[in-house]
Amino acid sequence: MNGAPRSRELGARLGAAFLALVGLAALAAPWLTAHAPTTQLDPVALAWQPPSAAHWLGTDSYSRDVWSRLLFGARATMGIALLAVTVSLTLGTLVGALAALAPRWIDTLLMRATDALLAIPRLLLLLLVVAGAGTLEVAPLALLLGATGWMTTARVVRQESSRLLATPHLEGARALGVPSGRLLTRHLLPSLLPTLAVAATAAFAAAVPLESGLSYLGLGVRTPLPSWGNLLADAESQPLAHWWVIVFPTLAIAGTVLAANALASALERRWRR
Amino acid sequence: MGAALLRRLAQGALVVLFVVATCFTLIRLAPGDPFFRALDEGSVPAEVRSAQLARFGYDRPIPEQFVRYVGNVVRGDFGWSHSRGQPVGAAIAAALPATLLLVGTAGLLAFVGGVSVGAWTGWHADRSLSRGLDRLAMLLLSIPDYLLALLAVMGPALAWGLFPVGGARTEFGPTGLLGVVDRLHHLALPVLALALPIAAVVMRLQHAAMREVREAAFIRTARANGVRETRIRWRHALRNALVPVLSYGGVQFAAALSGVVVIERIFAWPGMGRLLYEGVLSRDYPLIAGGVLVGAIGTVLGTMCADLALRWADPRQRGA
Repeated sequence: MNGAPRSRELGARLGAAFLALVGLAALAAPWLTAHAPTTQLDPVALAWQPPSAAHWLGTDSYSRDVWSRLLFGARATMGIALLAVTVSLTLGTLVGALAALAPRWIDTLLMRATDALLAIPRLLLLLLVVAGAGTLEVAPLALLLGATGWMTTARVVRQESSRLLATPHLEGARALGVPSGRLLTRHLLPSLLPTLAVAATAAFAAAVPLESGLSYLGLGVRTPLPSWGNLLADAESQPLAHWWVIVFPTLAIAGTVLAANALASALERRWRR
Repeated sequence: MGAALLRRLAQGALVVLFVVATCFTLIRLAPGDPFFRALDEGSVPAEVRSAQLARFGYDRPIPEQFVRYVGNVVRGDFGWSHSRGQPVGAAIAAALPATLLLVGTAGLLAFVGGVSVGAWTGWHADRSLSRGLDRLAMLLLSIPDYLLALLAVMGPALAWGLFPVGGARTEFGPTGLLGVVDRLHHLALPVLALALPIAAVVMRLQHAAMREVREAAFIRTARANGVRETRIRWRHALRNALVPVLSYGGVQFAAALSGVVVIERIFAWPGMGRLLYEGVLSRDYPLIAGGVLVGAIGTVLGTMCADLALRWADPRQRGA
């Protein structure tokens, strides 16, 4: 029992550090690479180059530098995930807190609707909208991911809010006649912050693979604009011969999700009760 | 019990109706129609196009189309798949067994494996092996299923040649007992890619729950009463620790179905996921509606099974 909490703390720190590193790399992308992510350096001589000193992570079928595509891809992937999390967290908190504060019939209505939406496979919903719209720009894609991901947050917030509303502090505030709006912003939301932090980290860990999965299917971020998902699709025809085009984005995606998951579980442990 | 079951069934039917109506509307609002590949050419006369759209009723208001669709489905008619040139019912009947096999095997493996490993590691939480397994699970659940599938295709299938790269069986391959072996051989990688991340989540939940139950007062009481240790572990502790896992299982069913779409595409698995993916890309309205209908029914049934299991494991849930 002795070693576990400390190593978990370490895992959370490593996770946070990794996320910060990826974020910084995304921001500083132009200064970290000599090549633009969309430049086809020499489609005849430099296509499918394995990793070397000149091209750290090799080049892809169009002779584009994989390292720069990975760096700039982090911008798309992380940006979309962050925006999606913001949207889903806002929507989920609103619905969840409203359900907990509102009269019982509104609560039932909201929660049944949430359950029904949860019954639709998320990827299918995204597939319908994205394929329908043809191509989606980056911002609408992020909004869409957020709009289809708020349900779990709503359930968690609803549960936690009802628990909090029964605590002496909030019961007292209610009994003193604090209006619902003020009760929500001044009393409920601050107490919800730990729950929201966990929900946000978990939502981030879900949004990254979802975006890259969509982009991998050719329905998310469109080439030539790089994202971690559509990098993978480039090497699909011969994955083995061009392993570097698949392995490095895979490591980036899995590492980011792992970091976010480790952080979420550490936050949850720290703030439970 | 009977009344509760009926109420659940009615709720489930409402959810299915809601899901199908949502997808039905969304795909019709999207640009394009089932004929956009064949009839969008400038050389196709406008009358032909509108006549074809009218023939299938796609020019009607969406609510009217939906009511007609529901009426047809009730009579057992799922419509005509434009992209496949066959009735939707036949297309689904051909694809559903493959997906049921894939999802069923993966779900069974994930839950049985996740629960038993998690129960063991939770009970022996202090051992270093169980801490290592917990960390391994954390790693596994962080790798999205389609990445696992890609890696599986690259390593075991392509590089080492141990498994077939795709498909559900060898075309014109062996029959009989060898045919079964051949099918299992094809099944292994997609099932693993689908099952491992789910198993990892199940395992961690089971681990946490078992660890908490281990310290509970009723376990101490049972032990003081001289109940055998194996009985304590499997009847008293495990049954209580199953509750969070089962409630997770119900919610997670839809998410698992999302994975099927990508996994089936990567492994060229001839199932519902691929059917739906292709249907969406070609705006095959009836095919999409049929696929969504089957998926929604599957999700609702899965959630209900999880609920029933939850009522068995936790008698407190029976009152609700």
